[in-house]
Amino acid sequence: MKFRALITEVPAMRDFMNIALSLSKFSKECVMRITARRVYFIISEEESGPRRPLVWCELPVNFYFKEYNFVGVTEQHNEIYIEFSTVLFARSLGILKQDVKSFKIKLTNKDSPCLTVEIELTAREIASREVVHDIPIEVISRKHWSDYEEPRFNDFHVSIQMPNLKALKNIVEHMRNMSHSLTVCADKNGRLTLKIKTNVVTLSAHFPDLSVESFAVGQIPVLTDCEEELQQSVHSTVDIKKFVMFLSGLQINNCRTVCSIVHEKMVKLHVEQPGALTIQVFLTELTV
Amino acid sequence: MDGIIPGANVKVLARAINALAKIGDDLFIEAKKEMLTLTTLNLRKTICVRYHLLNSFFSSYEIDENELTQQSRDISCKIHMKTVLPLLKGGSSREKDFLKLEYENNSDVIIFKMKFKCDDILMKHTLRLMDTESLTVEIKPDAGCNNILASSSFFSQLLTMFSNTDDEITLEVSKEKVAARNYIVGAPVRSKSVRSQVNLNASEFSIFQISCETSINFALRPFRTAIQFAESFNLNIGINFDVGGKPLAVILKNPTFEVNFIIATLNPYSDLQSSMATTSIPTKVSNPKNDDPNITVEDQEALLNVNWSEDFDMSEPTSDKADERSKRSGFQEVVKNKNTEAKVAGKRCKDFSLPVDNLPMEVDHEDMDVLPPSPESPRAKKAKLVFGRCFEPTFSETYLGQVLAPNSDSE
Repeated sequence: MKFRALITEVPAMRDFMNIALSLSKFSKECVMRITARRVYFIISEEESGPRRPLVWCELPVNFYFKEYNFVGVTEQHNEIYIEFSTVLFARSLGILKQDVKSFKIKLTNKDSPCLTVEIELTAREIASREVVHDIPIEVISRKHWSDYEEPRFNDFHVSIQMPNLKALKNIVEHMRNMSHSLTVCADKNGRLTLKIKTNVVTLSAHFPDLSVESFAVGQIPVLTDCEEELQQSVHSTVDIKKFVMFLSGLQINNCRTVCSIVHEKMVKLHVEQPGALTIQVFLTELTV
Repeated sequence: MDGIIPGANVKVLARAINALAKIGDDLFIEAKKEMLTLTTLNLRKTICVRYHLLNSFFSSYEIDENELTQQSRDISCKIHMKTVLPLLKGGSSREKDFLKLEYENNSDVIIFKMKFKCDDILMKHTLRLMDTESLTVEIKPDAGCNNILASSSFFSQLLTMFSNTDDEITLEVSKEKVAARNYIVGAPVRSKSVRSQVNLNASEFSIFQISCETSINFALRPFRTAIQFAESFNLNIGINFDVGGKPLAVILKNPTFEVNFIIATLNPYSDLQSSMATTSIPTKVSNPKNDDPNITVEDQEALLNVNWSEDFDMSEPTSDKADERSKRSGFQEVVKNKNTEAKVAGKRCKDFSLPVDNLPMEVDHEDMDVLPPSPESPRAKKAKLVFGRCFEPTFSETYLGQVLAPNSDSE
């Protein structure tokens, strides 16, 4: 079991640092799955039932790492799963804000398994400064790997592009003060609606003219009101805190976000930087 | 002693007192002929911080020469940090024109007069002092053989590599390099913290003179406080140290004031304990006023010689059974036993003796020596004599006379 990777380009380092920072805002712990071609960061739901991913982040190796040496647990199962604290990870990578010559990340065993981060800083003098951080990790044994299976939800009723996340964030953060649950609604015409309902007020934010990627009309249960057939929409009610966590935690700019909804079952947010990064956030329907 | 600090330096004093407050609870103020020194020590006497405010720091500094010629070469007083801190905590919004310190020797109070720029307000604070004690710090800050100097921004950048939760730092110093770690190589790993190491070259420092290579471990908190203070005034930070185990001094110099942070250290590879220093800085606190005018010398001697046990009657000696019971620790539950009770009734305080506890220490058989329990202080022994009655079973028949009804519950 071996893992050693090197980043030398500054933009790649900054992106990697931003991803670590986003992860630390999503959750306190995460699982890193290392394979030959991709690196995954998985954050699970807190419930102690069958583990379902809350956040699934995929990074293609060749985009970030200049050098990548990897040997999995066995030949048949050529992967490594480790778990660590996202806060410590993000803090250790915080130095990447400065002028860094090279950034190496590797698995080591210094009295206990660690993820070692070696950063070489460019100093003004000839000799450069080195910083080494050993982050304590826990290696996840093969019998638990099935807890972290790749989610394959493809039957969405609608997939719609999301508007500017910053605008959304402001609105939803204010909504959070008023209600625990948020209804995400999308219709055929490219209108995304976020609704909350309390005893006193119903508040909805409408974002029209968004591009609809797919809309599966036939599968939605028929609505009773005939007028609404023209404006058939798909909606699902989710926990507003998790929605806000995603919006405010994401530290990555210029990415494309798609919102997919399964009617009254689930909302999935898919963030993509083509070729560089995909993050999927799964929010299941609130059972009230 | 009278000193007037101009407006610009009041900010320095305020930051200085804030930094001192982070370390210790009591502030020693010593006025010498050429400077005013503010000193504090932490509880365990492992950190000593001294601010020397030179003559040039003040716009006017007067000290009564006559007071100085007595036994001590300075006028000194001691004050609670909590008394002084609120005065100077205000932000820069309350700009001061000047601050005047007034202190008469042997007085109970020290006066702080502050004149504010806005509306010409003059505030006079009369602060009560603690019992006068004079402090002698027996360490020279530049006694060590190793010296390094660098700017405050360099050190504060170094601190960012470490986490705020780190308590200690170990520097492994050689002639060309220094490795700074927040852990000790070979010590058991703490599973929840990141272990960080920063390798620095001699060329990154302004001065890097190492005569003896060493590993030195010391607390990070006072170091951080020093660096924060230095950064706010853009001072260079000099570190003077010897080998691990000898104190380390962080020296900040300015034309009008000088700051020394003296921190106890240890060598993590040769000392047994792997945690912070029990080596304390040799300081001497003496109370120059030993005579309290209310008690004469004869009274004091009499107090010391009092035999407290004379207050209690003497009769029967204790029985064996009572001895056996008293051998257990005095705080255990009392077992009601009618037979022994009658014998205990006649027990006398004088013969009552509490056993010395065998301290239930967890002994790490591998490296720690078993420390013998400390001998009982005479004060503790006296307390046990005086309060001996409290360690006995609460009810004792003969003191109260005849029994009217038997006990309804057994305790």
